[in-house]
Amino acid sequence: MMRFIDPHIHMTSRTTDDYQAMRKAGIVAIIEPAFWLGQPRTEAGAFKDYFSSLVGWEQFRSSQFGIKHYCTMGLNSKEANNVPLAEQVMELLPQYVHKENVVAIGEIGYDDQTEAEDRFFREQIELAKEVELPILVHTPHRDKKKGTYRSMDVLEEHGVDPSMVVIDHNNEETCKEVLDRGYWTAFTIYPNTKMGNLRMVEVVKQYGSERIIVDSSADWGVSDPLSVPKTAHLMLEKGISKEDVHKTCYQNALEVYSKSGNMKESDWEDYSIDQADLHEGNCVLRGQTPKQGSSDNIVAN
Amino acid sequence: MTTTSEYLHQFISKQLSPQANEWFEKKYAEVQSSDTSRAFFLAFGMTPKKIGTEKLHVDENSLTELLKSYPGFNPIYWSIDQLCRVRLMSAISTEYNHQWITQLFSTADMNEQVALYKGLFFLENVKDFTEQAVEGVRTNMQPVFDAIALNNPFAETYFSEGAWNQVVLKAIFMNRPIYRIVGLEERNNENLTSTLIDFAHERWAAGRQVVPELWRLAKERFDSDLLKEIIEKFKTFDSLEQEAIALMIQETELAEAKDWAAQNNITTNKSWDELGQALENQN
Repeated sequence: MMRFIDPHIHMTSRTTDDYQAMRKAGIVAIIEPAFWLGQPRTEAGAFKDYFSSLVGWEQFRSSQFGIKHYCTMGLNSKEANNVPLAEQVMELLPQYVHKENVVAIGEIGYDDQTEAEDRFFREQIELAKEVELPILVHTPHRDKKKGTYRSMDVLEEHGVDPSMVVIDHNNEETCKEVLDRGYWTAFTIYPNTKMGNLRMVEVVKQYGSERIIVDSSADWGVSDPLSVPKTAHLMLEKGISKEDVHKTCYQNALEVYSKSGNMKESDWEDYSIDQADLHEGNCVLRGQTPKQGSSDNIVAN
Repeated sequence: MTTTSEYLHQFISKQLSPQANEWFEKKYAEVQSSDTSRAFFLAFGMTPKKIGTEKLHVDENSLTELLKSYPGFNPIYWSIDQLCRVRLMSAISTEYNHQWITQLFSTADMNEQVALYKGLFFLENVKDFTEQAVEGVRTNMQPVFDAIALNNPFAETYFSEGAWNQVVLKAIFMNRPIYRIVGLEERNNENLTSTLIDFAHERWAAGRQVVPELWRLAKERFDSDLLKEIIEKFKTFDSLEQEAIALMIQETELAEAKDWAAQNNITTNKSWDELGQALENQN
C-alpha cells in the first residue's frame, strides 16, 4: 500500500471519522499549519490556546489513529490586519517556534495585501531566518498572481533561500514562475475554490514531480481530507509513474520540512503498524459515492 | 548549584556525548545565572533536538540512589532528554521557579508537559506545585496523565484524599496499569473503595468487564454479598479476572470465601504486581 503525507491540513476542524479514513487511505503523517478558525479571534489568549493545542492535544489525538502530527507556527495574514492583537501574537510566537513537532513558520503571506499584512509577513520571515525553520507561504485567493509574485519578491528581498520555502495554493497561472524561481511549489486540491485533481494530473504531466507538492488544506469549509490519496490514485490511473506520485504526495514534503530538524521518516515507521496491516487492500473510497466523472478518485474542481 | 542538580548531573553526564554535554552545561549555566525566563524556555525547548531522545541508562547503584529521592523511579520510562529537562528545572532559583515553570506549563507541548510533570518531585519546593499537578490529572492526553499518575511519588506525597482518589479512578477508567501508581495500597481509603465497588456494579450491569486490578483496592470491602455476586459471574470472567479474585480471597479473612475457593480449586501464584504486569502486557 502506498503511503502519503498531507503537508497541509487543519485537523482542529475535522472529526475522528476523518482521521480513521485518512489512516485507512495510507496517510502516515500530516502537517497542520496555524491558520484562522473562521471566527476571528479577539484576544491573544485565544491564539495561545490554539498554538498550545497544535503542539499538545491535536498531536495526541492524531497519534491515536496512527498518524504522526506536525504543525507550523505563525500569524495568518487575515488576522494580521488586527494590528494591536497581531503585535501580541508576535510576542507569543517565540515560545512556540522551538516545539518538537513544529516544522516551519507558516502559513504566512498575503490575504488582501494590506500594509499590516506586509509588515507581519516580513517580521515572520525574519523570525524564520533567526530560528532556521522553513517557511510555508499562503498565497491569496483574490489577485493571486500578483500576490504570489509579490510574496516571492519580499522573500528574496529578505535574502531567504528558496529551497527553504513552500509556496502554497498555486494554480496553472502561477506554477511556472514559482518553479523557475526555485521554490517548493504546492497545490491544494480543494473543491471549487482552489484546484480539482484532474487539473493536478495535467500539471504533473506538464511539469514533472520536481519540487511539486500536493496537499488538501482541508478545514472547516467544504473540503476533502482524502484529497492527497485520491489525487495520487487518479495520477496512477492517468498513467503518471509511481515514482512521480511518491515524490509529489510524500517525498517532496518530507524533504523540505525535514530541514526543520523535527521531521524524519523514522518518526512514523514503527507507528501503529498493525493498524496499517489491518486496512491493507482497502480501497480509498470504500462505501463512498463518486461525486463526479467516471473515477472514484476525482475531487470536484 | 543545588543538591538536586548536582546529583542529576552524575546521571546525565555519563550518557551524553562530549558535544551534547558541552551544549547542555552551557545552557544550564545560562539558566542558573538568569533572572528572566527566556534562557530557560529556549534551552528546555531545544533539549531533545540537541541531546537526542535515547532511553536513560542507569546502573544498579545509581538506581538505588535515585529511588531514595524519587520512590517509584524506573529508568525504562525515562529518556535522557527528560532528565536533562528536569535538571534545567532544578537550575532555576526557588525565587523564580514557580513562576517560570507555571508559565511554561501554559504553553508546553505534549512531551514538555510529560517532562515537567515527571520532574516536579525533584524540586526543592515541590509542594508549591501541588495545584498544577492536580490540574494535570484532568488532561485527556494519556502520556501526560501517565507522567503524573505512574511511577511518580508526587500524588502519594502531596495530594489530598479527593485528588488522590481522582488519580486512581481515572487510571482505572483509562485502563492504565495501576500497579505502577506509587503509594497505591498505602493511600487506599474507604471513600475510594466504596466508589470502586459502585463502579464494579456499574460495569457488571452494562455487561462489561471489571478491570482485575480493581480488586487489589476493593478487597477491603469484600463481604458475603459481594462473594455471592462473584460466584454467580465467576465462569464468565477471563483468566486474569479469575486470578484477581483468587488473590483477593487469599488476602481476606472471609471464611466462606476461603471455603468456596478451596472447594473449587481457585488459586493463583501471582502477586498483585505480577498480575498488573500480565495485564499491561496483554493490553
